[in-house]
Amino acid sequence: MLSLRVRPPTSFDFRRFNVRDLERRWRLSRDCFLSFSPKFEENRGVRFGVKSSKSEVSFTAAEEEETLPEELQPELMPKHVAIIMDGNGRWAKNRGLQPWDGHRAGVEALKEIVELSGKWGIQVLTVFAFSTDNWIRPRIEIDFLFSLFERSLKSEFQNLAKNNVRISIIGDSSKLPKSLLRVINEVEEVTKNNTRLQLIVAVGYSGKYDVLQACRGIAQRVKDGEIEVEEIDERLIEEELETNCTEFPYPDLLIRTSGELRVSNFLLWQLAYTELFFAQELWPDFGRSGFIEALTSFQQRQRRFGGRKS
Amino acid sequence: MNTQEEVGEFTQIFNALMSLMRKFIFKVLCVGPIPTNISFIMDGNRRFAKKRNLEGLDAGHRAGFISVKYILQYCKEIGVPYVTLYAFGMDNFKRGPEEVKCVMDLMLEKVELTIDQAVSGNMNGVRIIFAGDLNSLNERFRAATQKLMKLTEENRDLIVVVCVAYSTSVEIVHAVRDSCVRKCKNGDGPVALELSDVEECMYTSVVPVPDLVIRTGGGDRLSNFMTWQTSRSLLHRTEALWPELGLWHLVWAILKFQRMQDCLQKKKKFH
Repeated sequence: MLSLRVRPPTSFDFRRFNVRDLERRWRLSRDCFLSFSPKFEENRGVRFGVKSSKSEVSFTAAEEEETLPEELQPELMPKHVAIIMDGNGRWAKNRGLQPWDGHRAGVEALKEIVELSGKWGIQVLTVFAFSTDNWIRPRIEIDFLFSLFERSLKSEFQNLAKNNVRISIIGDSSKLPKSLLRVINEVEEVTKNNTRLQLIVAVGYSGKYDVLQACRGIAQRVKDGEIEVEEIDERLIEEELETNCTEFPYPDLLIRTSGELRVSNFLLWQLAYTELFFAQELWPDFGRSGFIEALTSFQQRQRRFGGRKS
Repeated sequence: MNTQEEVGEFTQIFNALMSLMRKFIFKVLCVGPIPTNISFIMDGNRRFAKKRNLEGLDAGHRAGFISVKYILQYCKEIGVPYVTLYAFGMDNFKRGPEEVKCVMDLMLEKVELTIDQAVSGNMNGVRIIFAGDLNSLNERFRAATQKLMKLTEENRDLIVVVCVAYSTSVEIVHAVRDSCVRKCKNGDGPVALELSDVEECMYTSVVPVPDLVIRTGGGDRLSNFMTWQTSRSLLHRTEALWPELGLWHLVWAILKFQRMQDCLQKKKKFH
């Protein structure tokens, strides 16, 4: 899993780099955990805020079961948490690192959150990895990101499969490279019966695109005479949305890091009554404490769904 | 001892001073970018009534209506072209029948009051549009909304969209149905449905998307209000209840919008 949610780097300019040099270094380093910037190696032990020694996501053997922190109540845990993992680029820039180092740190943060979600009884975790808006990035950056994503999936999915995590990918797959699509299909197939936690990764996704493709499906069915126009209702649209891969398509809680106060076209229909939590930290710094804060805030909220609690 | 006239004069002077102060503040504010469309999720009326021990089911909502008038006045003075108000959602029908009836009667009363204002030419250039599933409202209310929309059609100074019997889910279902009806008539090929086709059929298609969403009452959620249109809007929440929302809250929200405007512009370019 990779945080591909890249903020446009303000000072980083690909034109400064010799493209051939970049590709050569990329080809040399197959392992996605090898950084491309020399600075990263020297900074790793000292400035890296994230524990990179934890390289595997592991859920429990019974003896390591992590109990819920005392601030959180088990009966009020959200079933579905959605996260917009924002801030990798800025995090890297603040430390004088390259943007891909920020993504690497983002991966570590995501692993931690996936692990905690599995332990704390969250059933669905949706993460916004790559948006339709990100297609405007330079081609080389996009290719680079997808190859990293592919390598991450390959190296991590065995682990997650072992830990009973189901992986689903949603989004417009028509523009993704074929090799990535193959890996995605394989991963989804192998993990489809897992039940502990469902990790939904949104790649090439946008809320509007999701509703539009649902509408297209419905319009086609109307044209084919399968259903009448009057039969179109909320339930029908819900069934056609990409989040029909899960039993709980409506997130209870949406977390966005890096202080941006926007939803940015991530989930739309599904966010109708979702509680929003905006964290100031950048995604790689989010971690356990940020997650607890978000969950505590969620548990204190009164949810009315338009009605009245008297 | 002050006579009635002197008290009146003092109030007039006070109002004039306040108006001057507001003009000054808004002039400063207008140096920066102003949102094109501000939308308000007006939450907290009943909590306000409880807090102030006001009698009556609709007391909080009456206080809320006063707040609406002030906010619209401020927005007009600042020069915000569009304002969207979330007055009553489809899911609010789940509330107790007495409360729903009370709110509907209050809204009808205020709409009829505004019709009288419009007829006597006191609208100050404000145009009112009602968005939502108006067919689910009672006959009298629906007729009143149609009349008010017709009467204020020509006004351009401030366009107010009042969302009644509205929710994004209902809006999208309605938009899908409409666009299906349009598109499925054309030939035997696959249906070519685009984003613009769906957006055309939405209730709020006549106004631009909100730049800034202000939610009162401390809640941090969208409550099925324009989740489509606000996908890139700045979401601002305040602990103040809707009847407590005043000039300073509005100014603060706009200042916040201005601070974040850089990022917003970059992202709008990529849209």
